[in-house]
Amino acid sequence: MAATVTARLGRVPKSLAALLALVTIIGCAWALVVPPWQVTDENAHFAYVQTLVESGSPPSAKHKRTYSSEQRLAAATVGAEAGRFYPAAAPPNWSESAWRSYLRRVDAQPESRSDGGGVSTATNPPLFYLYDAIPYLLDQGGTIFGQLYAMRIWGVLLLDLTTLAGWLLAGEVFGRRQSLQLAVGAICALMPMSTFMSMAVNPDALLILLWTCALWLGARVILRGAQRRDVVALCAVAACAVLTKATSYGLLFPVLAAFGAAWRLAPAAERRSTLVRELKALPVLVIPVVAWIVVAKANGLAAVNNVGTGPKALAVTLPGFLDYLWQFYLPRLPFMPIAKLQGYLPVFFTWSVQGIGKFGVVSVSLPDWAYSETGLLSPALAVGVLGIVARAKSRRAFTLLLGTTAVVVLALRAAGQVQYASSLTALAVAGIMLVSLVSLVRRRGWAEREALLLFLCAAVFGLLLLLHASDYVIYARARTGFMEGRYLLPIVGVFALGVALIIAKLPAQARPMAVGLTLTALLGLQFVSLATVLHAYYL
Amino acid sequence: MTRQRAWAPFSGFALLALAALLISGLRGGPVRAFSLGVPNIKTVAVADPRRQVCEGPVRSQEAFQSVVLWGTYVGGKPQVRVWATSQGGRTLMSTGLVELSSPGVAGPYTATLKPEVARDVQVSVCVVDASGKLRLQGYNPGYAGAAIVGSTPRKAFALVGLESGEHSLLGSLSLAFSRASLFRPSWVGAWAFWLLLVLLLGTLPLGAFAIAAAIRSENDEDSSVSGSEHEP
Repeated sequence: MAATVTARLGRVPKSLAALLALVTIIGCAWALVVPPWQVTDENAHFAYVQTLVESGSPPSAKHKRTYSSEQRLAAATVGAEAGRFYPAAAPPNWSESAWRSYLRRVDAQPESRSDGGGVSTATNPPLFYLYDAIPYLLDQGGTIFGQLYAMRIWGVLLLDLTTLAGWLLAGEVFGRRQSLQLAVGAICALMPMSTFMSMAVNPDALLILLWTCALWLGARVILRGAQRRDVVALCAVAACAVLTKATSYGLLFPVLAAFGAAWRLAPAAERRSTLVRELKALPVLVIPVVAWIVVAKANGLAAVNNVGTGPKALAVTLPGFLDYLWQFYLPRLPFMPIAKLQGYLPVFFTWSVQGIGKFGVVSVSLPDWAYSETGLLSPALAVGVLGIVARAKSRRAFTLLLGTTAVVVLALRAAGQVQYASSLTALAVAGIMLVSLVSLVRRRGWAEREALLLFLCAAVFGLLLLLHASDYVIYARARTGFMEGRYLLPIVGVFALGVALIIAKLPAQARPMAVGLTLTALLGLQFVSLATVLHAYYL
Repeated sequence: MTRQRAWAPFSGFALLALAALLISGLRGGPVRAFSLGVPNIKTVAVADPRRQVCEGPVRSQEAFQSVVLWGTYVGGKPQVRVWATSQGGRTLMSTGLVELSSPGVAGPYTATLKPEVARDVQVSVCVVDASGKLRLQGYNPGYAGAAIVGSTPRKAFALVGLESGEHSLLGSLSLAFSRASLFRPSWVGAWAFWLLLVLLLGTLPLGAFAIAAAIRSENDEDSSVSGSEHEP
């Protein structure tokens, strides 16, 4: 047994092993540097785990409170609540005497761990909390801070698995070209926001992993003829994702796209058996989801979050949704009613700012240049991918496309309107989706490449549709915002594949340089991000 | 590209990036000596010619030269004075003027005090505006327990003290790590952050190794494929 494990470990590619070691170090740094409960909703998610473990059952409508006395005392002592949105004025308590005093107090008279209720996150599915209950249980002897950081460090495992899933995804899409696998694995784990969320006590950590796994398995289903174990695994991962966060209902789109693509790619004689295999696997997805919905209803909970209606609520209409959608991505036209009350283009703030890294409780920003420079890069990447998937007829046409994009982007920069570069990115992404649909309706030339494109576009479309629908309904009913950049992290694998696709099209001599540049940029952003967080909270 | 040279581009880029980060990390900036743990959420007091607003007790583990307030200034030429007195207000210890921007623009505002307030001395910090109104922002008392004198129910304005001079990030790492080691698991001390820093620097050679290994593997596969193609 041990010999088998050693032999298998010996077969792990050295570049993957080095990447995993690198990711583990950076993950541990994030886990320890971020102050207690200074990630979005981390306090409420921690309370869920504590309720689950201490009471033996998940939070339900019968609970009245969210936090236990133990958590409330710890949060008040460290200043977690006061500092959540105001780290400049109210950083974490760094008084050594306060820390010693806290330790003496909890040692002499521990506060109750079991009088919480986790009620504010009670409607969430339970899978992530079950996962995080393990470190909570393992570290029972120390303070609540020991348990919180044990859960954070446990999250580094998710980050490593996300790296592995990205590596496998690239291996499936590009073949075993380790430089591309390295790039995709690194991007999935080392985009600063991805690392930050993966080590947090937050279901998004598990969601990033499960979606990346689903992308890998979906690619396998398409490229390997829907083998039984692949379709079952894809359905199981999709079910786990839905049991982690309701956003994952968006995974139904890529799952069905993968099944449909595998069926269409199969030889005519095998289509029936392919369909049977897929239909037989579907209960693996459907049964756990239906079971969760039934259990949630039995506990008096909604299976998805309800949106309350505020006094200034708007009617939810299709034209209203289209207005909102336009104004999310593009400048508002004069005849349009205002659908978002913000002074900036939401796509820039969501994709380019929060997608790269806005830490703490969306309260600690990177230096402006980090957002503007990467924001300028994204249209070039998206247009580059569009050119490749649309099979630009000649190198000249492709160069012209990229050149025009560069000129427009530089003009936007000169005019101080970098945010509109994100509109260009969004238009290019829409173009890629259009290409995938056009290839679907064409009768000829639909092969694995087009099937993969359709599948990946379905993942992007499924997630964005769900997010935008939620954002619009919440805006219309409660006049408040919902969209955050971290919600895009489940499709970080698609973004990584886009970068790898461009690297793959470079001349062979230039590829190591491009991979090196990618890794340098990621590590540079990581160092800047960690320094920014350390400075914001502790200096 | 050969195995020997595969790591070179990354190493070059990484060294350049590291140099840029080092230069950036050596730039000076303010470092907080203390915070009262009060967020700047809403207006909690107004300082004007007739009303001074005092808050205490304030005790800092480090000496501080400046204080930062959050608020909105309304009025003509600003003349906001801040001073620190011994707890109880009997002895004036330090005083300074707030550097205000345009009226109506929300702070933070910084006042440099002379002389520096020593560490571990309990003081009150007072604010008065000789010509207009400064709406001070804050909330309920934070973890330090300081509050506006006479406020009922107790309120506190957000207040942060700054150490004298400018400090680079790299030069302040020891302070940051010792602060970050509090409210952590019992086994975590400042040493853990120093170790992490060393390991983080180790990610650069790890990255170079990963790229070299990946390129070598691809070259090996390419040569084995081309070798087998030439076989009869």
